Amino acid sequence: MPPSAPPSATAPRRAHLGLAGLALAATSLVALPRLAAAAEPAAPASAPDDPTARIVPPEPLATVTVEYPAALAQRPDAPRGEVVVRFVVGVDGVPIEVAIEQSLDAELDALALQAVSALRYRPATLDGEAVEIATRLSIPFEPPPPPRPEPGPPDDAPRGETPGEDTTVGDASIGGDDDVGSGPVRLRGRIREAGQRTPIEGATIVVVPVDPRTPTGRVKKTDYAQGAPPKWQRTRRSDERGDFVVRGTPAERVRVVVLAPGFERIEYVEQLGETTELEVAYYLRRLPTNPYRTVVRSVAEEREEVARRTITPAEIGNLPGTQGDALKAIQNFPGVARAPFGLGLLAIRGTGPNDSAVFIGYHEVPLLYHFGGLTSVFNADILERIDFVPGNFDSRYGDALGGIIDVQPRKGRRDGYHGYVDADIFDAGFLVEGRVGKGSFAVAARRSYIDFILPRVIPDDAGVDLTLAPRYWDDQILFDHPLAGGDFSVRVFGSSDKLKLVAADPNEVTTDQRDRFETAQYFHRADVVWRKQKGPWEFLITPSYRYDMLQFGISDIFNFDLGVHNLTLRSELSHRASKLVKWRVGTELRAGRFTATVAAPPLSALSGGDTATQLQSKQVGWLAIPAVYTTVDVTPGQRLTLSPGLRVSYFGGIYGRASVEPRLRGAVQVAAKTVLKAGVGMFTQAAQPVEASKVYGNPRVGLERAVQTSVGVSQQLPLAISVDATAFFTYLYDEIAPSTALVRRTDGSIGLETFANTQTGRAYGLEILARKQLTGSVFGWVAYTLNRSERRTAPGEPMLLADFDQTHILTLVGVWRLPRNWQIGGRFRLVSGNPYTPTVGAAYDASVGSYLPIEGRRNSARLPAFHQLDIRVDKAWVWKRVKLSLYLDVQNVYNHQNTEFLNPAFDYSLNAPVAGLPIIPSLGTKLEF
Amino acid sequence: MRRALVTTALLAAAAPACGEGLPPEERIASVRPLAVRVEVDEPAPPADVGTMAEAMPRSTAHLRPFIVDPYGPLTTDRIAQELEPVWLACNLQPVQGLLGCLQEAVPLQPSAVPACPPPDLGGFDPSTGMLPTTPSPCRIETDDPATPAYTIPLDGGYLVGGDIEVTMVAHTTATITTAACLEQLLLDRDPDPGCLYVTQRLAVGPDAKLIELAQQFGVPADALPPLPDPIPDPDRNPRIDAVTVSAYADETVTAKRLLEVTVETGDVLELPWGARVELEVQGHEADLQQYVVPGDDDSFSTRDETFSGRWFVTWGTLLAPTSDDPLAINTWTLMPGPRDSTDVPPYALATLYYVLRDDRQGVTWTHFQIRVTGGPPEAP
Repeated sequence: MPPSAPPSATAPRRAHLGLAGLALAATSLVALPRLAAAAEPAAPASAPDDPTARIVPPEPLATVTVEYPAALAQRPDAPRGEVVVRFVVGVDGVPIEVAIEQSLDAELDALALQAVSALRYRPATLDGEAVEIATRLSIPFEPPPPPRPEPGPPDDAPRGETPGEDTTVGDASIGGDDDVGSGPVRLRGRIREAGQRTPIEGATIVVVPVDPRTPTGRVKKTDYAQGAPPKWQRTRRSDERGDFVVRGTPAERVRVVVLAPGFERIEYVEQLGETTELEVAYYLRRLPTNPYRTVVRSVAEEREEVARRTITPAEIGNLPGTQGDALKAIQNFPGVARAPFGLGLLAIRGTGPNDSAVFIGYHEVPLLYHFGGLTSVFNADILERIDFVPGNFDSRYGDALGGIIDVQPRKGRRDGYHGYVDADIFDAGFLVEGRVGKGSFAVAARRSYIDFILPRVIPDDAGVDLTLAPRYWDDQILFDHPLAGGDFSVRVFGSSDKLKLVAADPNEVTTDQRDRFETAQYFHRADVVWRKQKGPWEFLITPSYRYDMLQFGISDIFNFDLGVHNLTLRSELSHRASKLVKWRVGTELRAGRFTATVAAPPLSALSGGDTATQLQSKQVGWLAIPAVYTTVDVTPGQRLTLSPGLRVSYFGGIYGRASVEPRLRGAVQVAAKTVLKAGVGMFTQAAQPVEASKVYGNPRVGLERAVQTSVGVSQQLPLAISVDATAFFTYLYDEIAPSTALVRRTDGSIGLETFANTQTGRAYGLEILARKQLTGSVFGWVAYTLNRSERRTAPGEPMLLADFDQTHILTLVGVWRLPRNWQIGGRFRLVSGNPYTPTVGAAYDASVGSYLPIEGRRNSARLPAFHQLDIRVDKAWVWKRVKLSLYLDVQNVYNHQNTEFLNPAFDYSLNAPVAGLPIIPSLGTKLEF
Repeated sequence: MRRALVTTALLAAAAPACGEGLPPEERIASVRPLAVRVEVDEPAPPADVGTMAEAMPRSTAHLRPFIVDPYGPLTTDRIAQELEPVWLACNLQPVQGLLGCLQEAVPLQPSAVPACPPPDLGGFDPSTGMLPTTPSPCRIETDDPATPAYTIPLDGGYLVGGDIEVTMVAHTTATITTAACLEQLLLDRDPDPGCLYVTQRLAVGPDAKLIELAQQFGVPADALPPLPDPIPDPDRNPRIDAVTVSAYADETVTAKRLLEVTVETGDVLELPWGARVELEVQGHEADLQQYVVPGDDDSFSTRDETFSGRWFVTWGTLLAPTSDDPLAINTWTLMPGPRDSTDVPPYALATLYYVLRDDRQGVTWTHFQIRVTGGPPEAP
């Protein structure tokens, strides 16, 4: 018997969800790819990027049992088969509009209607709001077999005469042990997903007799020719454990057909014994068109900024050119400048890399990448999603002038114990996750092995002694469990990078501190998160502790040692006051105590100064940045949503500054699939600690500020394609720039001001993103940015190009899923070259014996344009219990020599272009279970 | 703190390794300045120490540039006649980098740069609370442009840690004049390739003696930085004890030794083409001084000077361009290097220069030449 019919689209006010089978008592969900194209957004002002991910299906609260009418069962032609019922789960969880879609028998139809009407659900939600959902239920009816004095092999009776079995709706006994006089167990089995060992619930198992001469085993070629109806047939469905039992069949050779939506069909020929049970286990391969396995539900943020890009782990993992790194995938979106050498710098909408913030699980992280860009510090496979907001972000976030990357870890899987081991050219790692009581856990770690390889390949006479070869590791431990009606999570994660080398000339008698370079970075963080949704209320509280350590040393003239203890506490209260209004109030406290020991020449002395004037400083200080924020979503009309917000912060400790940041966003649904959005707001950012340092900086520096504006349009097209266009303008002021003014410093001495809030700037442009969602076998996007970023360092100075100004940024990404678990993807980028300051001459610094460049107009020249093609090929082998993946990622396929910067001669008379990464093939493998 | 700084520093550290196609610094292929030594007059210099490299107000500092070309060091006459240098003095602010003073002053008409006045304390009244100032930049007037003398004025900036930035402006080609080069520098125009700019920090101090001087003039102590105890000696130029040259017939370890001598500055040796020359330069370790650097809490920490040596050749190949050991060793092979366009050095003379610096402003140098006999073996 085929599974129930596929879903179809109806009225906008309802979402559709197709349920395969009878598993009303189950809590697992299957997201159907076609739903993404069919569903309409329930909230008019939201940008429907992926409605599938935002729909929470209805959850049955109880089961209903239907008994086959005894009178009907006694008929020689007792009906058997399926009744399909169509109905709507209302916002109160009660089925309405119940109707027969596929009839079997009038009496059985009535029973089916009665049973479905008696069901009760927790209603479906879309963006946290209860919605009606149209669905259907397929109820198989099988007349029970007549009672026997003792179990024995049943007669080979024609259909209709062979005793049937109870079929219950919502009863876990379906497919499981059934001892209601239905004959001996002939076949007992379990249905699992190949490679994952996950039970497949609701699979249909059809057993029919077959010619005894048919060889047993897997049937490779299915003959769909219509033959004579089988003498008998048994149809079962697997339960939530994937188990099924077949009773009361003749002991003969049978064909077993297994069907499940989203999985391949398989057939086996088995020999059923007279006196023995046959135990089987069938593993079904997931079809390429069904990339989703059991989805752990979570409620995504419903607040939509003007431009919020969301990317899921399924898309991340196979993007060419990013080695599966989630955060590097952000660099493919519009508004992000290309970073040199593929590093992890994020320069967003014309702001600098230090002007944007990354949050993992509601709290900011200090660094994203090992050694500045090799690979990110958080395993992408335990991320639920990544939201990238290039500007006009919500009041929840502060202390940033650029954009926000908001990363949410996911919960561990509860459908068994799973994990993997993977390795590539840089490192190896593992992930293990599974159920813990009613909750789950996930543990992951990774370590590089460059430190094993490099010392063995670098020649002894290379003049480089890797005292500590570069090595990094990171770890993540996640634990989730329901608590007090909400979700409780504990997350511990961190990373460590270390490198020390001593580079001596071949004529040196001894090596010493003057020849060294070393760096060490370390952080670890522990979060507790509790979220609860109770009716219209939503609660969030999450404290976090983080310890950072940074050490840096160059020769014997520069040593930097920083240790920071950070405590962050965030709490939020949200309330949907009515259909028109929802508000959120939150508090955030960031507090920290740092100890910084620095020995270095003054910053200005690094370019021709007196190295004897070295400053030594040990500073112990503290920061406390409390903030209160609120956003109100008002929907005065069905099509309009306004979201005014406010953030008030006080930067205490070494800063002593306050900020008030009003923000406003709005969205108008001008057509069924067209949304216009706009935003304006103020944003502030504190100085970097070195800029506010009383030794190396200026304690009087104030906050940097920006006013961001943006307006955009989002258009949904068929086939899960969306197009977004956003124009933005950002005005920056009170930015911190170097200053050579002579001032009386806070300690009373006369000295250089070093830094002052004299810089202003502007960044403006247009971003276009045409995106095909990950549905079916292809996804990708085309991203184009046209922009300009300029700065004026002080009043009276000219407005010049900023360092990361890239006029044109074009990125094309495409990934195709092919049969037999092949996948191929490509990424092409074409980007304007970075501006640079040309050197027009040089002066010889006789104090140190080197040349000082005489520079021309700042950023008045531009490097050649960058273009590069990356290709990635993936192949997976899926066996019963494991899955092996292999990928080949080739960056810079045609080996274009992209100039990343110009290396000057010692006297600046010449420049040699330094090319970026050449063609780099990278091989990786992953073994999953 | 967001960590873009670390990424940038890693990139900057890797940049020097990307020098393919660029001329090596140790190769002298044109007129090049290598050092400028400051020698301050001392009425009674202590015995067995190098010349003083740090000047107090009202003392006289002599500036001696070391400028070379592929044929040897330029004499003072050649410097004066061929390069025609002029010298500027500019008062550096505390911890300001070299050229920072001039760059802050430009654009400036050359005619607007006054001559540096002689020190004059006649009008200084400490009770006004105003410290004396001197014009900055100013032009050092001298009868000896190759090695000018400059008498240090009294400027309030020195009392708070400032120094003097002396800049030599000259021309190395006949296509441009020194006056034009000076105009380009002061008017902030793109300099001509034939212009030569050399800048040197003329340290004013020691800082402790300046503080004492300020107190003598009645500047209140609480307006001045704290005094270290004991007050360190002034910075001095290091000296070279000896240069030892051992020559071998070829590069092999079993090669016959041809000579082993101690050379003096300016000596000329004669060696065959292809010889391997082992060099040892012994710096005078006693010249390495201890000095103090201030901390942020009025404390001081002591540092020891270390040597930093650089090697240069006009022909042949060096094992390494630098040394930082008191006994600096190197190997010079008398065969053409990748940048040599001739199989034998011009005029059969190859010159080696060695410049030795300490951590501060002290510097010294030496050089000698080798007359290369013969040439590469003929191809069979």
